[in-house]
Amino acid sequence: MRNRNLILSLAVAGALATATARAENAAGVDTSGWKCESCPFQQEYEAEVDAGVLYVDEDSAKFGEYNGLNEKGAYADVGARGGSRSEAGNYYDYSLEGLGVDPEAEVVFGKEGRYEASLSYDTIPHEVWDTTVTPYARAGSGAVELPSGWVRANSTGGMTSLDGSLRDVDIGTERTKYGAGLGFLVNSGLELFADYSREEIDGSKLGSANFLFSSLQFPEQVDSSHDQFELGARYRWKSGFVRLAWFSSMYDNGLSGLTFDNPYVPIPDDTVQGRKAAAPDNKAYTYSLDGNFLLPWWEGVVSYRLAEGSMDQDESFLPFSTSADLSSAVVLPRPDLGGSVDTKHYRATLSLRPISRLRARFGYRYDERDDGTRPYAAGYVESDSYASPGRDALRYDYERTRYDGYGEVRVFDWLFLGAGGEFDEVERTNQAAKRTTEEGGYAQLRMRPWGSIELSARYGETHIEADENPAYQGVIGENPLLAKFNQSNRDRDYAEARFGWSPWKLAISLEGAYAFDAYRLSPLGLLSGRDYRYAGTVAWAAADDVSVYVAGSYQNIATEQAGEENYPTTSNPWTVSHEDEFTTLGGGVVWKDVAGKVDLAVDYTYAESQGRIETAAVPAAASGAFPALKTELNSLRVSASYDVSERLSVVVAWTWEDYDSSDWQIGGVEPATVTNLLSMSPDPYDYSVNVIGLSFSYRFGGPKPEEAAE
Amino acid sequence: MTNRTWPALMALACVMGLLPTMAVAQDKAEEAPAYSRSGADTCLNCHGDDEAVIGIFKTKHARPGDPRSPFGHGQLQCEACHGPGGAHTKRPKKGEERTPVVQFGRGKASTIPQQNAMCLGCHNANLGDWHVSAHQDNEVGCADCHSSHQPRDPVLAKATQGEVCDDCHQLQTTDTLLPFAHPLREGQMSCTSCHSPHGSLAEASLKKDTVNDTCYTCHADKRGPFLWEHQPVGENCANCHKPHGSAQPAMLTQRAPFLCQQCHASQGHPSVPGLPSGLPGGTPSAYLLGSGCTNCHSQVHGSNHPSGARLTR
Repeated sequence: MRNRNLILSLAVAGALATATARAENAAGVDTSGWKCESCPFQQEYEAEVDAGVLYVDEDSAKFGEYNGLNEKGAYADVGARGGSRSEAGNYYDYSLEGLGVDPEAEVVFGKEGRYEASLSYDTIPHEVWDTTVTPYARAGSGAVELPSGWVRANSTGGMTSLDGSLRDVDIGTERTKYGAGLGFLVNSGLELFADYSREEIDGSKLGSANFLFSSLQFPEQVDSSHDQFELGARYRWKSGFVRLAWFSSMYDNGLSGLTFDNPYVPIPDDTVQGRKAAAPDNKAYTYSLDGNFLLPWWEGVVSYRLAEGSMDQDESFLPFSTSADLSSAVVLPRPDLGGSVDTKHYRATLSLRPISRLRARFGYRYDERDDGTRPYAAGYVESDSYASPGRDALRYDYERTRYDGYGEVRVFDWLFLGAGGEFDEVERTNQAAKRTTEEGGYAQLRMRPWGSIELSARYGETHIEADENPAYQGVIGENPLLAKFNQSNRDRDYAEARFGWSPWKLAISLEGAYAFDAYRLSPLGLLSGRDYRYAGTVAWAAADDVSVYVAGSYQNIATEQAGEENYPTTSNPWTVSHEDEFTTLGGGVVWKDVAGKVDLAVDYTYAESQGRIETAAVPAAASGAFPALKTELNSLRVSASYDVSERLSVVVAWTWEDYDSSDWQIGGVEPATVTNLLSMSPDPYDYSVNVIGLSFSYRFGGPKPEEAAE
Repeated sequence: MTNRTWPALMALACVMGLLPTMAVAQDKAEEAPAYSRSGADTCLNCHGDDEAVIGIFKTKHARPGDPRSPFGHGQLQCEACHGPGGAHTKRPKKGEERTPVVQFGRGKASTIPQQNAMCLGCHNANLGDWHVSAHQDNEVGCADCHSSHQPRDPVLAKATQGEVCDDCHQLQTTDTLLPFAHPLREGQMSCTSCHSPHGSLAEASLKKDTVNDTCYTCHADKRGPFLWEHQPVGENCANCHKPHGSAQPAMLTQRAPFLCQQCHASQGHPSVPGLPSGLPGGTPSAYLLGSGCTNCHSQVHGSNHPSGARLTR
């Protein structure tokens, strides 16, 4: 065995010694006689075309959330993929998938060793609700209006024309993505590259707004695009590489604001509409230098990255209010924010193996967000209802510095022990905690005690200390006992373990993780959090052509938080406990080459979540548990493919998916259930959908069947 | 840059300068084993009928016109990855095993570091941060994820990548079955939409420098800067969201009003607890039902409206 390892080690060492010279075509090996005459390089057109039909038997936004099968009916499902390569090294490959349902296409072409270009197209549907209703209708770009004859009232119960005005409206968006890329190999070391992508998002989301203490939901139009471009060069040599790149991102919102009619009795009288701002157009860029170099000793590698950039926006401000009177009461200091945030990211790492038994790495990371936006202070109009005195628009900067290290010793060939640590400091402006410092350490072991058994485990702790900011003025009216969880003293301990074993024809894999957070100095806010989870899979290769698996998982997440009612007039403390449980089970069978012609597959998934929230309050009579939040998913897919000939196959598939859920936050909430919320009344998801599919697949080109059989 | 940053960089530079003086002498290279007589033609004499082997000729590794490819002009063909095969081609003596070449996959004669060293010999420039990756820490082999002889490597395809990652990351994969999750199960996204499995110098092996930069790739509307900012938003999206999936709407860590009350307890309605009495059948509360706090404070990611101080406009 030792000789065998020695031979392999020599083989690797020899190969690597020549690998560094490979780029110069000077491996020290005379390959002039290596003709590769029996190498079956692809040199002709090969393609595969799928054509089929799907039938969906029920409408469901949740089932079709991301797959485009949200409506009952028949869908064509066509796909094709193929490619060709010439002896001169010109090639192209393409793929078209989901035409008729959820189209996606990509073409890649180029010349070997010179350039490669690509074009891509993709769509991502996101269906959210198909049970929502609203009295609002779109009235031009970025505006919704109530029907004529709408009866305004101080509460939803008084809106007598509501029932007759409601209409069904679906909520969802579609992303359309375009991409192009080009890589050009100047020589074996230098490569230039450029990538462009554009994403267009259209549709609507469930929007909301308010007039003082009364709110409304409405279908909020979405119409935006996002262009991203990266240009760079990479140079590699035998002991490293360097990459220089420039990245830019431009977000363009087709809407500057969203206007909605006021369904309530307006206060003041001329506030018959409200308007909120849409996300502003913005742009960002980053230029970066990164790379690594391989040290000549200790198998050392240094990696680094230096990146700086900026995020900017100068979208013109909307008026203070739709009310001319209210708008005239305050003065806009400037026409737009002129917002500009500089960002810096510096990283360096060093990894070493000073002796074969010891491996170590060290890392440094620095991130900075420096908001250079000019100060802004002005009065404003609260919810198109009343003018409010001046207020500063606070800017939030941070600097984050992190050091980490890890070392691992091979105690025996089957046992590795490691330990690591980190120091993470965040400095913020305009926050209660000026600085938080997190220190942590962990120990890890990896074992391969015998055969195929592999076990790894890690245990660690981290502690965050928060330094108060003496200059912090606080938020007017904020309870001083509150500590925000991201700026709070926190102790965390965590553990995770993984086990793998492949006896006989089985593959067993188990995983578990645990974490506990204690916010030890927080009287109010988040007090503690706990998360434990485990998962396992057993796969069995029952025969050469038959495989079976079963899998399951469980996770439990719990938190405790506290508040103080009616602060500061009284001190009635309350606490809320949350517990989310999530369980999955699944299994499947794949049986290939049944009678040499048929492949069968069955796959089943079960997933259940339960969320429990319980409030303990003063007075105790108000305490209690909320109804459980529940979801339950059952999904079964059965498919069979039959090889009609060497080139033609037919696939039949059936998918059944059943989903039930209950959610007290939206269940039973009709448009006028809440006196000061005009709701769109989405229902908790509930569906049972069958999808039946039949498709044919035909293979063109490539080796002829009789050749392939030889 | 903070006062602590420059000393750190200086210390790193000093360490880099000192290390060579501490370097131990390397063993003199052993005599390199012999390569085969005819390269791939020799290998295919025995392995040419194996579909699993010759699939490589439909991959990027087998491009004669690309000098970087193992099958590029003058290159080492099969032995570029499998190492010198001269001894392997010789008939073994009776009772002895055939001399192995470098083999890929779990349970093979070659160790994972030996396997990975072969890949990194060419791919260092593509995998610049492998040396500090979690996969390297846990001795994951390139061949544990990649099927380099398959014409379509499953881990490189968006629709099938999850099945490969699931072999080790079961906890994360089951998260995609949670009621609210990114569309990985549907194949619209993949793990590599956000993560760099070959390592990165960002946290959690993210492809971008920070969590937020990663999210802005698809959610640029949240980038701002806004006139009225919401502090935790600009710092880290994961303060409120669970990117692998959640039982709460919008992949939140907890739903409103409870999530909001973890940071807001000011006088007035923010300090009022959510109670079951606020459900339909009791006194239905707009603080609790529908979207909770965001029924009114809908601009939780920031507002660019001059009247958006309370994130309502």
